[in-house]
Amino acid sequence: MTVVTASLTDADVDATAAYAQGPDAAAWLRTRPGRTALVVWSDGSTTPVRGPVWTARPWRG
Amino acid sequence: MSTTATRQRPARSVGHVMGMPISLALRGRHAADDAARAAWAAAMAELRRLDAVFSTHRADSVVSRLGRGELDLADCPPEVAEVLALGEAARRDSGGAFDVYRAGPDGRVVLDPSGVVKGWAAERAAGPPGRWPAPTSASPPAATSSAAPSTRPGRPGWSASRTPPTWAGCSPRCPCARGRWPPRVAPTAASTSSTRAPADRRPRWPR
Repeated sequence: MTVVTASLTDADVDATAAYAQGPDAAAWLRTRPGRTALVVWSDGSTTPVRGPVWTARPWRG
Repeated sequence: MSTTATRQRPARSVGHVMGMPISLALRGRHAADDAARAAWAAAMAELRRLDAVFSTHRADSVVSRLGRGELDLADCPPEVAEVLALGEAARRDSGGAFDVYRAGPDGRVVLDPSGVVKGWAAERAAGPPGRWPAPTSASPPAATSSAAPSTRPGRPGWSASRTPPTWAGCSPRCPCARGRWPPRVAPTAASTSSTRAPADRRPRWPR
């Protein structure tokens, strides 16, 4: 379970939290803004994950 | 166009704290001078101080005493409340899968914020951009990384790194190689949680 984002604290906590969720890991990571992740399952298959784009300040047009 | 600039091999330092190795890789003109050594010493001192606060392996750490009810949160250093808030946010966001409170061997609830602390402490020790010697040459200042394989088989392994954007590259065509720093790229951090790989499949320490 590898998570990439701007903050190491966020990346580390999310990697651990996703790992703890077992089969739900990829689905959960998909809800996490600004995260990119790669899940390697126990059978060796992989799921790349791109979370929603992180908008720190939502643009109100 | 000249392509004579070569990739500099990073100057590496390795220390051991919080039960994990911490490594630092520096590139640039000041990668191995007194300023770099002083910055590395400051980062390790910060990690040792945080270990004394947060270690769950030391009975006299602040977190151990807080967990036993000998201290109030108000009496703890401010970092403790910061870490507990991060843990609470992670518990909420993960629907309870992540929790700094876990059942101990005797069934009682134990405070164990290690899941937050290691990454948080590594990021904190990496510090603000000014911690590492500013490059006067055309090279980026610093990359830090840490890795903490679990010593217990079957327990989740852990590794984390925080790198500036040019960790992998600094090719001759990188903006910083032409004297423009910092490049307009966001800093990136990566963390991996996994079961511990068998010894023969463990990655080698990067060289």
